[in-house]
Amino acid sequence: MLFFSLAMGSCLDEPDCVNLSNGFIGISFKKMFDEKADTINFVSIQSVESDSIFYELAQATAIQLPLNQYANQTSYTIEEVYHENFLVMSYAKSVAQFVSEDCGTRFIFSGLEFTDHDFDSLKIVTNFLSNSVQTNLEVYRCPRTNLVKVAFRQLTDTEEEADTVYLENISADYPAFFFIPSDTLSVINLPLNQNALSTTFNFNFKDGSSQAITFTYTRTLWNEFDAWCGTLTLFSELASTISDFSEIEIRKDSIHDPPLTNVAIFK
Amino acid sequence: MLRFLNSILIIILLSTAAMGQSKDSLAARPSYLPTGIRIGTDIISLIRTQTDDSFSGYEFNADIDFYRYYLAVEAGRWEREFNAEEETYANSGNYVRIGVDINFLLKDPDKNMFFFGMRYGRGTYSEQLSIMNDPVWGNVTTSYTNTDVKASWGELTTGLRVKMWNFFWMGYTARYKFALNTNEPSGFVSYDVPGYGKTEKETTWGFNYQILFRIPFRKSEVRKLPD
Repeated sequence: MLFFSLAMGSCLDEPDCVNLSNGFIGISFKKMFDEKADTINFVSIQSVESDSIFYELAQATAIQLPLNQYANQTSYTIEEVYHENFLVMSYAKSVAQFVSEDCGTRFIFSGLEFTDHDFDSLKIVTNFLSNSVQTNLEVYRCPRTNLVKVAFRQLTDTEEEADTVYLENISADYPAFFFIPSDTLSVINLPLNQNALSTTFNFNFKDGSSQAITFTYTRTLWNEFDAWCGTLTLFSELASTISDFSEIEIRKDSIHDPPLTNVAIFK
Repeated sequence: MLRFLNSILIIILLSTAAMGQSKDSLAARPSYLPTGIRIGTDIISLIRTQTDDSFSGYEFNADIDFYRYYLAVEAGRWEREFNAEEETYANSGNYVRIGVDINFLLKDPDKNMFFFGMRYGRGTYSEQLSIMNDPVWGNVTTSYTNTDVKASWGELTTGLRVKMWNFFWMGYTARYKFALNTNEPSGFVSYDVPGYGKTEKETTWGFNYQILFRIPFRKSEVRKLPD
C-alpha cells in the first residue's frame, strides 16, 4: 500500500501552460515629482527583432515586455504620445526546456542587465526575472509643465455639463504637437509655447467652422529637476485675452501635472 | 526526501528481518546457489510501440535467484517524439537497471514471487528540440541538441512473478523512480530520459508487465516446516 501511495503521489499532472517562462520584464511608469503612477498613452511598443506590436494605442501605468529567447539582447522602441524612448536589455542566453505538446517550450532567463536607455530617469527595482508579474524597472518622467487642459462645457436649464465637440484638427501659432485621442471629445490638453508670452490655438471643427483662442501667461524658470530635465518653465496667471468662443471661464490659472481643468469653453 | 527514502528502506529491511524470524528459519541453512535464470521482455513497451505514435521502445529483463534474493538486470531502449505547434522534441537512448528483489513468498513450491526491491538505473541518450516559428519573434528556425547525455537514478520496486505453465512466467513490476541526475550541458534541459521518463518532477513512477521464461539450473529445495 505504501508503495502504491508513493507511486500515485508522484503521478505526473499535465503542466499548466501559464507562466512557464520567466522571459518578461515589468516596467512601471511614474512621475518624477511625486513618484506616483503615471498613466501613459502608448502609440506602440516594438522591438527591432520582431514584427509584433505591443500596447498599440493603449493606456497603461505598467507594462510587461517579452525578452527574445533566441538572442542575448532585446531592444524596444517605446512610442507614447509625447515621447519616443528606447530600452536595451542584455542577458545570458536562455535555457530551453520542452514542457509538453500542449505548452511547447519554456525558456529560463538569467543575468538580466539594462544596458542602455534614453528615459528621463530610470530605477532598477530588480534584475531577477520571475514567472509571475513583477516590476523590474521604474521609469520616471520629467514634469510636463505646459499642458493647459481645456474642457468643453454646455449649460442646461439646471446645471452645467460636458459638451461633445467634433474636431477636425487643431493648430497653434508655433510648431506644437497635439494629442487628440478621438475626433469627438470633451476635454483636450493644449501645449503652451514656453518661448513666448502668449499662445493662440485654432480649432477646426467637422462642421466646417473654425474658432480661435489666445492664452497669455507668466513664465517662471524651475530648476528642481535640472539634473534629469534641465531647466523647466512654470506657467501661471493664465488668462484668455482673445477668443471666438461665446464664453470662456478660467478655472485654474496655473498648470498642473497631470493637467487639471484650466479653462471651460462654452461653444 | 532523504529521510523519506530512509524510512522506506527501514520498512523493507524490517519486513525482511521479521520474515527471517519465522519458524522455518530454525530449519537447515538455506542454499544460496541459484536454481535458475528468468529472461523476459516488457510487453507494455511492445504494445505502446504499436499504439502510441510518440513512443518506440523495448525492454528485456532477467533475474537469477540466490535463496530469497534475486539479482535483477533490465536493459532497454526508447525513442520519443512529441510534436507541439511549430516545435518538435525527439530523443533516443539506451538504459540499463541493476538491482536486487527480495521475495516474500518463500514457501511457494513453484517459486512464485511477491517482491520488493531496489534498482540503480543508468542511461545514455541524445535529444533534439526544433523550433520552426515563434508567435512573437517570427520565423526562427532554431534547434537545441544534447548528445550522449548520461543519466542515473534510483528505483524502489514491487511486483509479482507467477508461473503460468512449465517454463513460462508472467509478472509485473511497479517502479517508484527518484534521484535523477543528468549531465546535459546548459542551454537545453532534458525533457525525457529513456528508462526514467519525464524530468519535470523530482520523482516519477513506471510500470512493466513482463512475460518471462525460466531456465532451471537445478531443482529447488522445498523446505518443510518442522512438526
